[in-house]
Amino acid sequence: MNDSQRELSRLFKAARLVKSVQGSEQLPPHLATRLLAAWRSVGHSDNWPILATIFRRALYGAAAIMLLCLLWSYSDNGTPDSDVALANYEVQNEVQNELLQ
Amino acid sequence: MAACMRRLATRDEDAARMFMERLYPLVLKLVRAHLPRRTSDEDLVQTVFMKIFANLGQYSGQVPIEHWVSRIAVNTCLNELKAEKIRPEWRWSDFSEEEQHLIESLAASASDNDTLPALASRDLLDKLLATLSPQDRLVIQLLHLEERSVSEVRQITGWSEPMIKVRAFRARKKLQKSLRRLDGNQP
Repeated sequence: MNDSQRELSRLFKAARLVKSVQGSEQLPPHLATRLLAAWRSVGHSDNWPILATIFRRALYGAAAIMLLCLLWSYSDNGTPDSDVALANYEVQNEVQNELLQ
Repeated sequence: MAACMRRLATRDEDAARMFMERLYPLVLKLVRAHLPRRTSDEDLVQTVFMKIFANLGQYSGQVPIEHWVSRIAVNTCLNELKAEKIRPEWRWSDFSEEEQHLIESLAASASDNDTLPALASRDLLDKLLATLSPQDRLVIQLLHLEERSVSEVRQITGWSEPMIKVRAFRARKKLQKSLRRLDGNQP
């Protein structure tokens, strides 16, 4: 060990003695209050997981309703009402053609 | 502590208070050891605790909670210290009379048995540590002032053991160089 290494080791050794003086510190009441207030505010802004679940469920619900509407609309094509609508359309076309001629 | 953490998950305020009271000395010690200039230790302690609470769900329980908290505290301090671009360059006149005397006695007496004044030694060392990078400062603090093992430093910092040894060696060299320079600059 050279001189400068020895000097540094002695400095470390002496500085370590201060450690015990700074020893046991307790949480001061004002800081505890401040930390708890910050913790509570973190809790309030931490509602995103609940909101995300609600949004996800709303999305699934909307998708299900859309799907039901589509199914209903497809199943509705074969009813007599659509036949009547088609007949009406054909009649209107014929009338328009006659008028043009 | 496990029961306290379970209660903490249910937003129990008493558990939060107990958790903070238990870990406050550890966090404060780390924060004070790596406190950036112009930053209050209470502000940094609050930042550390908020990070701990925000990430408590990620704590696996495989390591002691103290290690996990230490790593968060150290990383928070290092991030704050990164903002400190300017490091002081001390001159002989920047030291108090006691510190100047200490530097002289360090050079004059090479015997390990001669006791040095603890507070002045700590102040002098703090000034010398301020010239190092945050990582170098941290490794010296943990290895030589808190007398932690390389394995403990690895757990706290997440650095590899060879990296810790190399960093400590280089940091010691820089400190020795600073001491030699001061010793040579004295009037």
